[in-house]
Amino acid sequence: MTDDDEFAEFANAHAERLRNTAFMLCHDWHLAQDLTQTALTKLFLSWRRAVQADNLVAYAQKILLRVWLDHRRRRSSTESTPGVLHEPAYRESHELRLTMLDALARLPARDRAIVILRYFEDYSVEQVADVLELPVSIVKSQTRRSLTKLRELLAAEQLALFAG
Amino acid sequence: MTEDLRALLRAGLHAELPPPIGDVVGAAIRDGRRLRRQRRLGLLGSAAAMIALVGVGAVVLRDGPVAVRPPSAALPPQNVPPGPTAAPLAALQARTLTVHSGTLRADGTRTKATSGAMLVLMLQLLPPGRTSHYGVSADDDLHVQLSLDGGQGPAMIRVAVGQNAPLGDDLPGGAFVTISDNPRDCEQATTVDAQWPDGTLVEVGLPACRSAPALTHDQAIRLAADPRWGVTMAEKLVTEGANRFPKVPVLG
Repeated sequence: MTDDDEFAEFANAHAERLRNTAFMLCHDWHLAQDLTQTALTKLFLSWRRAVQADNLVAYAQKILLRVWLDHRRRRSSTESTPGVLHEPAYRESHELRLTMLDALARLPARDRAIVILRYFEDYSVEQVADVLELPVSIVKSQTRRSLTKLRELLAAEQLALFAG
Repeated sequence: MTEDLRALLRAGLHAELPPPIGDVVGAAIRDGRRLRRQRRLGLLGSAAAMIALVGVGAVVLRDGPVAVRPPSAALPPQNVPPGPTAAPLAALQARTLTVHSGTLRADGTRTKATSGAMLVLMLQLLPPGRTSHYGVSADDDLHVQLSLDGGQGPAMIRVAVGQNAPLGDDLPGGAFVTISDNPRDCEQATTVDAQWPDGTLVEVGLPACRSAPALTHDQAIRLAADPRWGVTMAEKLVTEGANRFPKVPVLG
């Protein structure tokens, strides 16, 4: 199996997950698709180095995070709000999603990434620190601040779910 | 608390109806291969530039600053004889076009391509002019370059040939040609890719750092889209390449 074949096998297995992470970060499926493709292209170019990583999925997530943060830096003055969202299966889910995603969107980019990695991707504090190249102490303190901010932003009925 | 947050985040995603992911992996591979080739060509160009600078420096040290002249080529310059002028292949309104060659691939016995064969074919396809500064890449990569002076000063032309997976069976006979202009990078000012249904990929690089590109778009398309290019080439070209270019400077 060639390097390109190995890459294709890995990418096909994990593209969906990467796109989900990208969507949670940017709340725009089209942008999520672009971010995922850019991240996979970068991974393809560094494949020989990437396969030496202890955790290849985390390596790919790290590239994706960097692609997104770069995108944010380039367009820092045009922060996008959640665009047209697809019709949800249930109205209750719709309201829940809008509230949570809207609250997340109000966090600064890096803090949002920390929350997504910690609570959506289930990364440990140390793994988040490694991916974002931050000290563990910063990840911990920013996580605390972000959770406090989310509590402030969430609607009352959501807060009840999130206050335990 | 954190479990509640996890549940909320996952509920947020699960409530979504994501659009089909499409061929994001295939697109990433195609982009990656293109960038990889451009990097290789860029490295080849940088090495050539270094050699040229060393050549100029040597002349300056030996003859003094007044005697600066173009660096001499490692091989004697050759002239491309004038050939029949053909009509432009396409009006380049679009960036990507299909060139119908009338044949999928060249006929005849083919054997493993060599740098020498590539140089021979280049000389057959280029417009009239004085050629010099032949170079090939190391590691048996099918990358070659030469400088062409068509009367407006010498300028470099690079050609790389590679083999990707076949594009599919239901494609029109002929090459898909993509023209990329990059005004921000003079080493890769213009790149013309020709991709054949069998996966053969030919990339022509036209730097424009010290002069205008050596070829017009039409001339570059004619060079890139010739059906004789490939990781295998006609035996006759390979034999002629071995005779005419037994030793060419290796760059990079």
